[in-house]
Amino acid sequence: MKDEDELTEAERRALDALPAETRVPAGFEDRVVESLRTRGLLGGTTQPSASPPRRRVLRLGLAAGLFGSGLGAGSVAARRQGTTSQPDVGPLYLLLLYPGPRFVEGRAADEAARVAEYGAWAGRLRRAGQLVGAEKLKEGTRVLEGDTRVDSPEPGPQGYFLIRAQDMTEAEAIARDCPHLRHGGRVSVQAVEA
Amino acid sequence: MQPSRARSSLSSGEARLKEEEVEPADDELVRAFVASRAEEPFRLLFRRHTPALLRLGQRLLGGDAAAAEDAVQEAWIRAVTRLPEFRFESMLRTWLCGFVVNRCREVLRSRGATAPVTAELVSEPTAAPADTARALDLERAVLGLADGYRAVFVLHDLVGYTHHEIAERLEIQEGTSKSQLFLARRALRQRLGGRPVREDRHEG
Repeated sequence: MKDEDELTEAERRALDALPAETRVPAGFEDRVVESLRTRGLLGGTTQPSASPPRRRVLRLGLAAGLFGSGLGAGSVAARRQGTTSQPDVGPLYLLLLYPGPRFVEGRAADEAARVAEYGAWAGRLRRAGQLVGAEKLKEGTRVLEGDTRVDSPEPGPQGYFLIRAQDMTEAEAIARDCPHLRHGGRVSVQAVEA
Repeated sequence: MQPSRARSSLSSGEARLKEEEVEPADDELVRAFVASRAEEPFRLLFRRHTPALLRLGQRLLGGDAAAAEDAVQEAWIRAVTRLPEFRFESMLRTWLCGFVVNRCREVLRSRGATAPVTAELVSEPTAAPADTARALDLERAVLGLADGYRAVFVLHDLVGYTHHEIAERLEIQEGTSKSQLFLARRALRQRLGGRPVREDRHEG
């Protein structure tokens, strides 16, 4: 580690690699339940079937909520139709969207608003000819080191936007306007090596 | 990206509606619990969040697993008492962590300057990553920090709080939080022998 105030990138990664959770000791859950019960904070004993733990739902996929509206797809379609306002030239930048410590998942009622919000942002990029591609990524990142799969306590990226910008300054400005930041997410910006 | 897929996404919103089997979301469980005080939704919430709450408590309390259990238990009791007030303006996990931080702050203050540092946490890694030795060194070094340093370091560098949030939560000045973090990082680097903390990449 350098003797400086800020963490180095390697330090950040090392800290990020520390486990975020720990094993819950046997009996701890029952002790907490009992302590709640003795304080009158829990109702009577319920049967396991009283609260269905899983259910099947029909819902708008998060892909639509965050990256839908044909965002990245829109750019492809728009270029093909010649409707972009600028030629699609210039260096590429990859924006990776992460949940971040304060990321707020959209509830079902908010999902339409999220679609509109992200869609408006991406739509501006698309119309400017700057949106090259975008996809939602599924959960379940697998991290490999050498021949070993290691635990990844931090969530992987939720999706990406591949954009064109004049330089890193413009790319960062675009990222700063991404709705993901307003919802507590993180966005990384990185130039694609030409 | 495949153009065919693009067309599909653009033209058919219905295609993105899909049936999934899902665990109830936090807000559903909270509402179910608040409405009924039933045990089942509480247990589901407990199982979902306690592993992270315990880890946070253990780190804030220097690896004292027993004290962390007590702190998390107390945090759940306080949180359950106030669950009807929770409006989901933040993530439930974040809100719950606040109760753990508060309780740990009280514990640390009651201990004064004589806080014991144990190795219980580092002796039981749960994840068993391939680079366990390096992770344990780092974890041990974090746990070995003085209480004030460690609390700020854990909240800022591991949990992601801002200095403003730390100041509010720990009831200290924001400037104190910044200086504690600076000193914590320096102490941590010294504890690790001045060697860079780097990722082992199994290079040859």
